[in-house]
Amino acid sequence: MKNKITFFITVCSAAVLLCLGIMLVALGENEDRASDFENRMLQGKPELSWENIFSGNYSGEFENFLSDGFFGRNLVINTSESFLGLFSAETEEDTQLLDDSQDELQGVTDSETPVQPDIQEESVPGMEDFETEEPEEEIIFDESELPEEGEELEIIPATDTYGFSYIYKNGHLREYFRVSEKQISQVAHALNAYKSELPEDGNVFYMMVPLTHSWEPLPNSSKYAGWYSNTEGAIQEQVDEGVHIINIPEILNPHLTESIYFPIDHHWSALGAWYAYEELMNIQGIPAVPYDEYSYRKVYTYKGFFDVMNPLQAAEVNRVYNKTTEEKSALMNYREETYMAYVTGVIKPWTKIETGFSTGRKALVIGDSFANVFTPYLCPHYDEVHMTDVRQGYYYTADTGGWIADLMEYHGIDDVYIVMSYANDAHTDTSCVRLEQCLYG
Amino acid sequence: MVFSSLTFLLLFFPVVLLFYFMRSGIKWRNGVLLVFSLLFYAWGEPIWVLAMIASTVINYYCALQIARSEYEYRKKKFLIIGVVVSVALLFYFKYASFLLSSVTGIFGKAVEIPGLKLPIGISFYTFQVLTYTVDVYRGKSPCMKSLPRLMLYISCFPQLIAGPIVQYSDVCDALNERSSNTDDFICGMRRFAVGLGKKVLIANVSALALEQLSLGDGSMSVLGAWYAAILYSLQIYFDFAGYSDMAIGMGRIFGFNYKENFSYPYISKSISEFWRRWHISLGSFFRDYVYIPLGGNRKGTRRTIINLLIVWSLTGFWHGADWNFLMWGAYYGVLIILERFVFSKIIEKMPSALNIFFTLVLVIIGWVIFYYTDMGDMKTHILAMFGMQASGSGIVKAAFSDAVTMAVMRRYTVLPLLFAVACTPVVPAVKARLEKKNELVFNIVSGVCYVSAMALSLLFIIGQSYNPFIYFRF
Repeated sequence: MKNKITFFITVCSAAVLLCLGIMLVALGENEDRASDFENRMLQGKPELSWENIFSGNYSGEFENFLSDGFFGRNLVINTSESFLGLFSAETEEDTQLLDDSQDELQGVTDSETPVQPDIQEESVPGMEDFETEEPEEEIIFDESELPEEGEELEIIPATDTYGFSYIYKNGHLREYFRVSEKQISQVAHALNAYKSELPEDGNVFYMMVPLTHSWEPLPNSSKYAGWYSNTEGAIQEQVDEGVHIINIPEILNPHLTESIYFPIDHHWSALGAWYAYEELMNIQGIPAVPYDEYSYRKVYTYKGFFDVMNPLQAAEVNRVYNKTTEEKSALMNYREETYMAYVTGVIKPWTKIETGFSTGRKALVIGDSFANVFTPYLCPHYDEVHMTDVRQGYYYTADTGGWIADLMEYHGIDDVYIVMSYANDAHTDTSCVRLEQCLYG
Repeated sequence: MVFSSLTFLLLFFPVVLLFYFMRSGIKWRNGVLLVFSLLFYAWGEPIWVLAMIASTVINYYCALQIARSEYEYRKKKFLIIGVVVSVALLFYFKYASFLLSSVTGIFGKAVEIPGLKLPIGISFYTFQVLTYTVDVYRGKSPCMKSLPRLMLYISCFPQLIAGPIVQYSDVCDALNERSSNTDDFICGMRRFAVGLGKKVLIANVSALALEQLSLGDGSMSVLGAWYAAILYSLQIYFDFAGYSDMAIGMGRIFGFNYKENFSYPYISKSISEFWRRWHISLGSFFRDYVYIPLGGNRKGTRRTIINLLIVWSLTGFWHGADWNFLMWGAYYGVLIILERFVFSKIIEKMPSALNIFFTLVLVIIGWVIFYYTDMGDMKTHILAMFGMQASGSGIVKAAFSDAVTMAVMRRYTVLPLLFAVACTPVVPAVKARLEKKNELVFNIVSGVCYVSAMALSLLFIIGQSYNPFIYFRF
């Protein structure tokens, strides 16, 4: 009898596994799609062709397809990491030290090939000659070149190209990626197009936000003093009046010792986003709501805690389909552990936040996942804040009901804020092509 | 495809079970196993499945000729053909590029064979096909007249890519007639769950910890060197033992009784005992098919020593095409020779605990040799284990500990200790005691444990992107 029960349970377990497998295959996503949580593309259904099979690629892609499409994948990853975390007694310094030492191993010091974010760039018509140039040789950090105490750090550019670098503590730069003149022109053209769709007193703000990750050494690093970017200035020279390019590295560098990034992933924190918001308000001559004016809840993770803000006023948030169909959402989700606590992490196809404030103005925020933490700070300044995401796989007119220009007019947008991380900034298709493509089609 | 992959756990294995038990005839079941085994291998090696099929067909033909022939010289001829073809295939895929680059490297520019890929499991299935041909030649086993059944023996997916190395004589009867009942099914599935847990929950976690120690960056502390070596010892044991458990479990489900491949090797009191407990099937192969044919220990001390060095060098080289593997094999050859001819009396007189301790230390040092293909890094690590490090001015004292090692130790705290306990027979002893006390409670608790191990392993497979199997390069 006991044997029969055990046998029955064992057979049922095998059946459950098979059902799970069949469901994964049947319900899995056909296309590759981006994961903000993991900062990479998740595998869609692999191409079933003789070439793919005989090359040996199909088997690996199929395994990735099952793994990447597993139900509740993010929850599973968090659960497995939390389980290991039960046995952990590491401190924050330990975490940083281990992350720094992994950076060394994984090629942050590789002088020949800059480390790129893992998001794959889509091939988009018009971008056939998009290319990334090889950077020059890395200058090795030498402790004897450190500035004296009190002496200002002189930044020594390695080349006269545009792009993003890390600043060594001796002022030398370590190039991370470059932005070509063509890309700068494309971004400027797109931003000017957005400005042309706004009222005369409307503003467009564009910012590129550094990612941080286990393989990136900042914000706390023994070797680097900060970030450096000269791309913003180059774009600013080509844009019209009313378009403002914000240099986020310059804003964040003085605050590197503060908790400006989440402890468990690569997104900036409430504090990091607030510094950017403060600068934006300064540009407009509007007093920023102080950081401490908000109250924050502490959300604890196995790597430390982070702050999730309580909005000053209750907001009504809806995801909008086809301009008018609304599905209730929320501004904050206190059950989530990362940027997804803000605007529930998902803003596609179009999110509308009715802030509860009365200012007579409406804003549109276009961005990737870095827009989530930033957007709630805009609420006190606008009646409505709209949000959308122009990345490949995120913006479809079948869902939104039109191109962005059409929707800007429909909703009466006054200001546009474009918040892109380095995975989607001026050296990627998202900013160079998708931004303008989604405006008009 | 590996056993610890979603493709295998959620699709392949349940489907095989479904088809296998659909009907009870041996032909149906052998056919199902054969088709799925070939599919299993082709999934990862769509081209090189042909190499395995070719090796099997050639040896099938050779064995048939051996069985049919009355003349010794003809039997020997086909034995040589079968052995040479199999070993030549193994040599070409595994060693040709390495030897070519080593030889040409002496003359200044190392040349490799471009695009040559090592087919998964070639070392294992080559040895299996050799046992077949040699056993038929020796008259130990009858010749298999059915090519599909021979193909099944070679390609049976539970043991195809990572062993155990199943000698033909152990399964030749089961290929023709076997059965499995509910007990076999339950025990097999439990063994599989245990193996999966060992691989995913212990081996992979040890590997993760090891990865974070940043080995090979030029300097090591004493504590870091030993901690890394212990983690690797745990990783390689649970990786391989876990895989063997899964293979044995699946074999049981399908009616094959594969022999044990590991028997708590880390409690061995001598190196000789270690190799009677570690990768038992490999040791048996080299003993039965290399050492004994060379004369074993029957031709005097000098010849015994030579035979041991040959066997252990080959053992090392079988594990990988690089000089460190040869070194590793020779290391054990020398240790076994010393044990047998110099220290045997001392070992007998020493307390068991001390013997176990010294054996473990020697084994852990051996794993350091096994781990590094770069001799410089190997030297750094071994020096650090003994409190030294090389510097511009010679050998200096190494630091006792470093921040990274302490951070990793704090990150994983008691886990390595728990893993170490799992290397001993403590768990089965406790299990047996609990079962005696209250069988019902024990059955419920153990059932929950097995299901939890499977579920947790599944979670970790998804959660971990790091899921290599070390022995795959063999």
